[in-house]
Amino acid sequence: MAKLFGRGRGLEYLTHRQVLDWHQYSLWLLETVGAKVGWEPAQKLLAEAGCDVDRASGIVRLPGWLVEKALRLAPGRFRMGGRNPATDVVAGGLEVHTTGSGNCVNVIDLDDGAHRPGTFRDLEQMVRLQDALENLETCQNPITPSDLPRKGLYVKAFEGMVRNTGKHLINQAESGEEVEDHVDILAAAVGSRQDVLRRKLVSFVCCFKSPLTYGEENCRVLFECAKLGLPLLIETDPISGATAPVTLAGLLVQQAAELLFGITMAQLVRPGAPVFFAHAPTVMDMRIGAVSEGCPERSLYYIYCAQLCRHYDIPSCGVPGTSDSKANDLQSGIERTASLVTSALAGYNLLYSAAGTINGVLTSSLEGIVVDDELYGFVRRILRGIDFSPETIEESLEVIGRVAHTPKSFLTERQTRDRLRAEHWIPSIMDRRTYEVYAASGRKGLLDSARDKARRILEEHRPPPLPEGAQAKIDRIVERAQTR
Amino acid sequence: MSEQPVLADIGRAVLSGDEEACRMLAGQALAAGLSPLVVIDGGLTAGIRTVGERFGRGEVFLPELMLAMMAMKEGLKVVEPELKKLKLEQKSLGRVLIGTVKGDIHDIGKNIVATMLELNGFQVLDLGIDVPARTFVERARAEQPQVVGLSAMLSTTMQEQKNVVEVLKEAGLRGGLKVVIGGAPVSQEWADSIGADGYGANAELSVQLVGHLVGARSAPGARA
Repeated sequence: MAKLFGRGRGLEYLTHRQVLDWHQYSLWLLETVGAKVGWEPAQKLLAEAGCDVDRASGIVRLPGWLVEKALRLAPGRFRMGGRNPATDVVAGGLEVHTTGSGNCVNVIDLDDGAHRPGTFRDLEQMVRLQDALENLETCQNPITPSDLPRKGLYVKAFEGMVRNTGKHLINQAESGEEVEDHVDILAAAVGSRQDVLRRKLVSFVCCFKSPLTYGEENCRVLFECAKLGLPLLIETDPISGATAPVTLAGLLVQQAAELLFGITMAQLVRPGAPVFFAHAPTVMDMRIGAVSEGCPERSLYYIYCAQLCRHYDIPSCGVPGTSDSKANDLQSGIERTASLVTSALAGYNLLYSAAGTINGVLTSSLEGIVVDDELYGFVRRILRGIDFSPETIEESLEVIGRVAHTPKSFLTERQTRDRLRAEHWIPSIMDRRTYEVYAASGRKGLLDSARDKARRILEEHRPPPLPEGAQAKIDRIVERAQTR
Repeated sequence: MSEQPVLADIGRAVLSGDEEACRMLAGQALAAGLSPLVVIDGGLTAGIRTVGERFGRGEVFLPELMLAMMAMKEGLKVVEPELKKLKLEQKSLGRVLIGTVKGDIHDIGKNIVATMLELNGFQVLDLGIDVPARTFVERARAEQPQVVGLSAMLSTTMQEQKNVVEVLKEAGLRGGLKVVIGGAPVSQEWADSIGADGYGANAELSVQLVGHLVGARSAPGARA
């Protein structure tokens, strides 16, 4: 059975009328300005479906009715399976789910604290760590390893992911063939290609360029993935003031148009293809020209888009919980918590790629991943709300009556013992000790506890093993990708 | 816990904080001819030790621990008359008199410390809340504890800790008697300044402190 992480609480800024207007503005953009498509088979499919295609420039103008049709075809909920079925998650509705660390290039070394390029070993350790952490529900490729051959890089990375976790996997591919490689690797791991596709054991990120540009490589991946019916994170990452208007409303209209275009392509390839409205919009810090992943505008984007996606009934996916800080410090705590809490309360469906990361999602760390598992647990408690049922209140009134005006405290009431775990969130690494105990421990704080926990898990945790003979098959598929 | 099934049952009753079962099973064990010391060591104490270990590992929390302690005490009430009849004594690491000082009615922290001390093998005499200095003196004289623990939750009532220390001294009781203090506003510096023998920053450190003061070889398996 798929587990529930939490449900959003419908934090909304817009009226229904404004959401309808937003949609119409986006359709207008697609009909007039259009999208630039750099792959001939995609142009052909779009032309046949009724789009106005200019072959010379690659500009495709999309009629609104085609988008409306695609929105009706795209599923509002779908299940993303894991090799370990107990970790399946259902995307959509008000459900909130999480992913681990995503696509960083650097790591902070667990032992010496050095900031250095990430390796395949880092990838394996991070995936194995995340397999054990219950609040990180699915697994994205955490590191683009610096020590692997360039060719077939993501396929080899995927091999490391499959071996180290039973959770649902999210990766990217550089060609349609590489999508097939992923399916073949998983088929070797679970014994059947049908299972891989039916249970949707892997999703692909398909990240297009803003504004409204659809390159060949990602179009190929989108087509292959949609054809197979595997979930697609159709993504653009517009930068307010640089690759999108400085007005946040302008960015949101452009963003919706960009993603509606991708979603429509996927539905043309295969009606009912499972897709996410995925995005990591930012602002440019105009003092220095840097892109900010930790800005408060990030929270606003996700609150607004959660509402739009609910209107579309299409699962939303984004990267709240990110930070521009260069260390796991107070800035990082402020930035990640603010956007995570607001996005989760807004009912954003998949909080992905951010866990453990700093430095604008360029650097990840094992201790950061452990800290974020804790933070996600904290957020999960907030999402669950308070059991305000008459039964609970009645039971509590009785207890108050028993304790008040007696020498007793609530500590020794059975209700306290029996309902403690459901009512209170019990932290794993947060420090709530007295100052003296903290001082006596050698002033060990949150990050020290996180490093200890990471080391303990890496030593003890064993992910679900692969069946006999699977590894040899998988190695051959990786070799095929590396020598193609 | 033991090959005696009834002792294992007592241990389980303690674990689940079942006072009724503790009373009943302790009675059954005595009726079956078991020595009261065996009922305590092999049943009641064994059960509470297990709870303490689980608490130390973070597997159970304070409410379980305190309910288990209450259940164990209910069992003890059944066994103690037999103990007296046979002129036997329960093993103890030491005797501690504890209370919240006059003017202060906060007792949750004090109760947790008392529970943890008992869990670790000390005999605790709890005077409750709002305890006047002269009561500490009278009871210290009567019960001959090795340690007196003074709890204060407020920055106003912590001044009373100083008063109790002085009154105990005037009564000529500070010879072998150690005084320790605890509570949210107090500190090691405060303990030093009022002439107390120690400050317990939390329940775990309080148990260690008392163990150290009475020279117990191995206090404390438990943690707070």
